[in-house]
Order: sequence, then C-alpha cells, then structure tokens
Amino acid sequence: MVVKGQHEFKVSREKLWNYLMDPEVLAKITPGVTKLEILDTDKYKSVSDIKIGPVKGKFSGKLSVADKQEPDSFAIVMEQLSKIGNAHAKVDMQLAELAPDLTTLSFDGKAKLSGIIARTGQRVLSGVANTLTKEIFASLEQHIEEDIAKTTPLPSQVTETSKDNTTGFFASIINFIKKLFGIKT
Amino acid sequence: MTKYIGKSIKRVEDKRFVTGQGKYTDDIKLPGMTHAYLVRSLYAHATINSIDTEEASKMPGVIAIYTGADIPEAIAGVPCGWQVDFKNGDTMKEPPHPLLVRQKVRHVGDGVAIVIAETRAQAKDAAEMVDVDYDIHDAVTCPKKAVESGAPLVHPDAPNNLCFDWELGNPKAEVEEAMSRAAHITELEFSNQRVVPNAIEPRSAIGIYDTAYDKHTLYTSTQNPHLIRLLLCAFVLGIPEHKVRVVGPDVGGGFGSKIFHYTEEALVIWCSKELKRPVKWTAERGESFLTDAHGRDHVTHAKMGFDEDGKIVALQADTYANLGAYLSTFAPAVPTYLHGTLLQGLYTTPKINVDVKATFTHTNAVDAYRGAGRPEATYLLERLIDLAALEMGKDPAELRFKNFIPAFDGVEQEGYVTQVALQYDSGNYEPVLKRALEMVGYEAFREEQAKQSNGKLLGIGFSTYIEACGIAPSAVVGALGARAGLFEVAQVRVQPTGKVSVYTGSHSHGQGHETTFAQVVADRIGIPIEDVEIIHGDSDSVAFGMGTYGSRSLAVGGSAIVKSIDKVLEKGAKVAAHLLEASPDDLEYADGKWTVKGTDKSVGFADVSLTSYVPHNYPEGLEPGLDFNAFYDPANFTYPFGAHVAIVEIDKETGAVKLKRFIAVDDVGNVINPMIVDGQIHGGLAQGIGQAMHEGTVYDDSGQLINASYMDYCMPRADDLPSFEIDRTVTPCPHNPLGVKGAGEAGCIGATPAVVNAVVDALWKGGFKVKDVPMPMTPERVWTAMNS
Repeated sequence: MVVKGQHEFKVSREKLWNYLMDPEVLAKITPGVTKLEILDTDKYKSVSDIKIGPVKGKFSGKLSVADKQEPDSFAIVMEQLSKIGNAHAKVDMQLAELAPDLTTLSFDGKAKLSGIIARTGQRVLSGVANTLTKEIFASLEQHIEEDIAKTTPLPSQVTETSKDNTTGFFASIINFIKKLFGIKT
Repeated sequence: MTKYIGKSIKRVEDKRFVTGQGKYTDDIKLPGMTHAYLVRSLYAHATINSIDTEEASKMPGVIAIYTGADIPEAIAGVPCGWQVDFKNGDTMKEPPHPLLVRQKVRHVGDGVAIVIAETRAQAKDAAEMVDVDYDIHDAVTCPKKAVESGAPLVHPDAPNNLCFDWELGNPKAEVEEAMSRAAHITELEFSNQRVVPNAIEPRSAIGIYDTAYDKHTLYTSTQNPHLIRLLLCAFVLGIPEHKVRVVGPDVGGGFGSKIFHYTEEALVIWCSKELKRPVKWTAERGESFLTDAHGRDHVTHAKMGFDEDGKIVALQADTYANLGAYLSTFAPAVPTYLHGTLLQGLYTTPKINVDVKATFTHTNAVDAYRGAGRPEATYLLERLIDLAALEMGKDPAELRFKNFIPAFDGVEQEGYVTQVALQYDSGNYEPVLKRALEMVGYEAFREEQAKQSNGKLLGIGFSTYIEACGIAPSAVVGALGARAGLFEVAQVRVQPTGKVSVYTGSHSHGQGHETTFAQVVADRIGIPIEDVEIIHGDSDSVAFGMGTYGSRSLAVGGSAIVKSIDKVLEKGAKVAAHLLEASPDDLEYADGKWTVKGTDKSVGFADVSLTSYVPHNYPEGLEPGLDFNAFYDPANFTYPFGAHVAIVEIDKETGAVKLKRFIAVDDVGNVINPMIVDGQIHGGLAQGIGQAMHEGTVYDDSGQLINASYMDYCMPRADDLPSFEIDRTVTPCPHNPLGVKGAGEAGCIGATPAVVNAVVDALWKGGFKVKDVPMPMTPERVWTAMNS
C-alpha cells in the first residue's frame, strides 16, 4: 500500500523539524497510539487498545525515526502488530522551505499489511489512507498554530496522550475497516 | 429397454439437499469431540524465530497446542501424486510440504501451529494468542518473475524457482521452419489469471481414533476418499491402510479443489490419536481463499502461423505456470499433460511445440480447477484463432471451418492422432459450430453489428474447444508420470429380494450420481429406479475407488457399474436357466426377466436373486449369492467438444461489458439425464464467464492475497448472466459401454475465450485495434484498452 502526498506548514523548516522530532507530536501525527514510550534515541514503543466488532485487538509496535538529514529529510519506520494483522511501513519525509515561514512536508512511503487487514478491502485502502493522511497533517497544523499561541511544553520521558483513536494514520485505517464492517465508530 | 436413460429424471438426492437434511462433514457431531484452529502464517516468506504458546495454552478450554517441532520427524509431509521431469531427464524438484512449518513459511496461510480446544471459538481465541516471531523476507508471486536472476528463492534446492521445464510436440526447429513460411503470424502474450475455486462448503475434516480397535476414521470433504486414505497411510502417517476408514459424506462442491490431500486431514488424524478424542477442523471462508488449491495462473507467449489460404501451419506456445509454494497432489500434471496435450484443439495444425516452465512462488498451491489445463489450452488456441481472423480480415467461423479436423467416428475411421501425444476417440466438429451459428442468427447479427449507432459496441466471440476427460487409461497416465492408476471400481450387490445396492468409487459432490447412475442400473437390469440405491464415499463399504474429477464419473465409474451388471446378469442367466430347465444360451434377458427364446416361459430378476440367496433348488457347482464388482480401466480418454459463442455490448463511455447472449452447443457423447447435463453445462459456463469478466486472485508484491473475501473477490451472480441458449450434438464415445464422454467441465473450458474474443471483436469493429484485454475484463480494464 502506497502513501504519498504533501502538506504546507506556516513555520520555518527548522521549527517544523523540531516539532516532528518531538515524541509528543510524533505520537499525535503517526499511529493512533494511546501510549508512546521512548526506548532509545529516536526509537519508541507504541501501544493502543482497539476493539473492532468481535475482534479485540491490542496493537503494539515499534516506531523509529531513521535516515535523519537535519533539516531536510527523515524516515518513519513503523511496525504495528495486532490480532487482526500487522503493518510494516517506511515513510520518507522531505522538508522543503518555500519561504521564510512556509515549509512543505512531502511524504512517500509503502506500508506492507498482513492478516485480515491485508486481505479485506486493501485495494481501496490506499486511496483512503492518502485522504486521511491529509487530515492528520491538518491536525498537526492545528497543533502548531495552538502551540505558537502558547509556550511549548517540554517532552517527557513517557508521554501519555489522551486523544482517542479517531485521529492518526493507523487509527484512520482502523476506522476505515470499521466502516467496511459497518461498525459504528 | 430405455425407460430411464435419456430422461430428465429429477435428482433423488435433491430432496435431502433442499430440505436441509444433507449431511456434510461439519454437520457431524461426536461425543467428546474437540475443535481445531490453525495458526497460519501472516507472511508470504519469513523465517520463524520463535513460537510462544504459553499465554495461549492458559486460555479457557484449550486442550493442546502443537507446532512443527511436535510433529515427529518421520512425518515428512503431504506427497505429490504426479511426477513430471525436466527436458534433460532430471527429476522434478519436489520439496517437502510439512504438516506444520518448522522454520520457514512460504505463503500466507502456511500452517504454523494447531490449537485444539473444547469449542471452536475457544480454539480460535487461543490461536490468536499464539505469538510467532518472524524475520520477514522478500517474496515472489509471478511465475515468470520467479525465474529471473535475483528473485527470492522459495526452496533452497530449486534453483531459479524452477520445479521443471518441459516440452511436447514437434521439435522447436520444425515449428520455427514452418512458421518462417507462414503468410501471417498472430502473436499474443497474455496471462490466464489465478482463480479461487470457491466451493460453497468450506473444507472440513474430523479425525477419530478408536482405541478399542486401534482404528482411525477420517471424515473429510473430499472428492476421492480412497485416494486420501492411500496417501494418508502410505505416504504421510505410515498407518496400515486397513486401520483407516475415510468417509467423504455429502460434499458441497469441489471443482477440483477437494481432490487433493491437504495437511489438515493428516493433522486431525494425528492429533486425534495423541488426544484420544475426535478432532474437528472446518475452514473459515478466509482460510478457503488462502489455502484451497487455486486454479490456472499461466503467463503465456504464443504464436500461430497461417498460410495464404488461412490454414494453420504452426503453433508455438511458451508458458510459465505457477505451482505456488508447494506441490499439490496433481499440480505438475495440470500445465503439462492436461494442457500441452490439448493444443491440437479441433484443428489440423501440422507442427506444434509447447514449452512449459513450472515455477515455485510464495503463493498458495495451484492445482486442478474445473477443466484443469484444458481451459488454459482452449484459451490459448481460441484467443489466437479469433485474433488471427481479425488481423487477416477473415471471418472467425469460416477460419475455423477451414481448419477443422474432418469427422471420424473411431469405429469405421480411426481416431485422430495429434501432434501432441493423444489419439482423439471420435469427433464431428462442423455440426456444433453450424448449429451455434444457426442459433445466433449469424448473418443478421453481423448486419446489426455493422449498423450499431447507440453509442455501444457490439461484439461476437467464438470458442470451439476439445477436452480430454474420462480420466484415464492407467498405462498411459503411468507412462506420463502419474503415481496412481486411474481406473474405477463398482460393486453391484443384488439383495435377496431383487433390490440393488450399487457401491461406486466415484464420488458425488453435487453432480447427481445418485440419480444418473440409478438410471443406468434400472435400465440395464430392467427394474424400477426406486429399487436401486447408489452408495459412495465410504472406504469401509466401497471396495476401492479413484474418485471424481476430470469429468470421469459416468465414463469410467459408470462403465465399471455396467461391467458389474454384466457379471450379475451372466450369473443370473445360469440360475434362471436352472429354474426354467433350459440352457443359458437359449435365454434372452429383457425388461427384468429371462425368457426362453420363442416361448412364454420366463423367470423374473427378483426370483433369480431370491434363488441365489436361498439356493435350495440351485445349479450344481454354482456359488450362491448375486454380488459382483468390476474394476474398469478405460481404453482411452474421451474427447467431448463444442462451440461456444458470446455476444457482448460495451459501453464506450465506461468500458462496462454486458454479456447479452451466450450460445453453447456441446457434444458430450450419449446423454443419460439431459437435465443434469444441462445443469453441468450451465454451472460450467457461469464459472468460465466468471473468469473472463469477474474473478481474479490478487497477490501484492509482498505476497499478501489482498482479495480474500467475498467483499473483494468478485463471483459471477445470476444477474450478471444472460439466459443460456444451449443445444447438443451426439457423437458417441466408441470405447466405453455407455458411449458417454463427460460433461462436468465442458462449460468452463469453452466459455472463457468466447467472452474475451467477443470483447476484442467489439473493440476492433469499433475502431480500437486492441489485441487483448486482460482478464477479468473489468470496465476499467476495457476503458484503459480503448484509451491507450
């Protein structure tokens, strides 16, 4: 499954880079995690509890930031395991400064799915994932706007995010599957 | 004499099927029965680092969890039943197919562990808790890419993923030479895509171990219980054959996918002995998609050369055939001896060479699926000849008439010897196409097509096919690599009161044998059909059997029944002669009684049977009883043929194809029950059309089967199909006593290319010189073909 697109942010490239390297922000924009634990530099463990109809799934996985070329590019490498299937993804992120306070973030990656999430509805998942990824970046944009308005909090060792499973890339997939099975979200 | 044969008798088995009283494997419930669920590989190609069953084994109801490490080393796995060698004489690569994988998984769905619990739900819940840690590797899924250098290897001992390469027919140089003199060459590269058989009843198996008798019973949804018993005992578990009973009860469709011996059958038997409790496993629909042997999956490049006059002068066919990750029971035979041997078709082509590279990929196994090799051969030939007609500006029907093999009945005229190792039994090909053209109203159709003005494109496609069925003469298939004989067995047991129990080695999984076979028996003996019962599917009651596939049941199994009846009547004549105080030579048998010729002295069948079992007044030296079996090994394959015509209309704006008409004229030899034959043709057509327009199995680059559900895999539905217009000609088979050829696969073999040809014809006549539209011909693909 291919994920590809871009989004413009009204911040400098360096600032955007810092946001993206912040585990709390990372937790917000990547999988719909309930918990993001720092394992090592740029390596995180994420956990999320999800119930899809009769299938109860505890998604747990690893998330790491790789190929860092500050402030031009990096990659997010993701491995999410669950009872309804696993997802392995590598998404290349490219930051290009268009103007002093305008940066484009382009992303291009491939997700390999397995299990039920691979064999049911995957053919249409790619388009849906791309559409929903736009929403994820919109929420990052919102976060940045809000953040500029107040003081940036320090990232803590263990970040508990209180957001529900309705945003984030991986949660988007889950929501899509719920829709496929006609499960109310 | 023929009170029943040739009549559309309603199917006796339907009463229990339509009232919900059919008894399928999953319907069987036994005291103490446990339930199994397989932990299957999520990945197409991965190394197992560890399997953690600790948490799973604590789950409620769990009785046992076995992994590959628990299966004794001596149990190597399920075997392959057909050996095809490399061109250079080397033996094909035959990697082991373990019951549970120990180290490396090779396709999504490969069995990793089996969980046994008190209920099915508990087994499934626990299976989800089994934690398997994998190292994931790259996978290859395309049969052609598999042989490219650098392709991930499926088995370390099969270099280039090649199972074997194989050729048949005239030497390539001769074909090339003939091709070089051709006035026109039609060339096409295409894929005959992979399809999932989709039997309505998922596979199911129950293993039972009886400690008192040290005896195993396997209930399984199979097309051939005795074959499963043979493979299970002699090749997999090493259990003495007399200690295993295999029962294939009512089976809800197979289409080939239930011929094969699957790992789950051996697993439930092994587990049931370990646990001393019955173990049932039934596939979920998703598992059926992932693990029922698939069909087709060829990538082919073919060339057909013609002279100035339109006569075919040469055919070269090069095919990459996907076998999947493991060799299924008959996999090697399908792209070779069931495909290459049919490339003569109905035509007098003097030079033919077929070259097949059979490859391993990280996909589920591919084996026989309704037609098995013959649909692929028919598709190849019929696409080429229809395209050639378009390219040469000739009429596709006329081009076929020019190339048809002249009529031969196999009695007065010898069978036709092909360039590809077969001798056709009897054939008369012009009448089927003539009749089809008549039914179409061909001239009127072409006029209508020329005038089309409603924004739609009209097209007509032909397919004139031949198939080899009534599988098969044992000596012939033995020489070609089969590791089994392909005869059939029947026992006709006349009960004392003259009622008849017939035990057949053929296996009905929807074909209506209980009716068709009873019609044959009732007519041959001259008794009411109600006095006949057909029994099949149980290795403890049926002496032996090779089962049902390759449209063989009536031609081979029915012939075995006839041979047994002959023996019954021969002995019965001796008893009758004794009772009538005449010589057996002076008796004639008709309408259920023996009569002394030229007199009104007669004795009925039931009197003779009673005398045979109560032999107070009995011929001296004659054994009591009236009970005979026969093993019938056919002299040749049978060769049904036919002409199929599709008429389609394409919406130019959307590329959507509507199948407007489908005409099929088939010749399946003599017909016992026309209604049942019609039903078989209808079902076959739907499946053949399904492949052309709807079905297609999609593996992504990482080897995930991404359309493994009915939400994603498109099956043909009633409203996709027109009301079929079918007719028949009758050219009896000269070498079996019933003169029958087989009808189970015909529809599926002929239909597919007719539909694709119709679409290509519509596009061509509409000004789009498109040579091919890949199957399934979705609107998007047709639109793309028009707009590229």
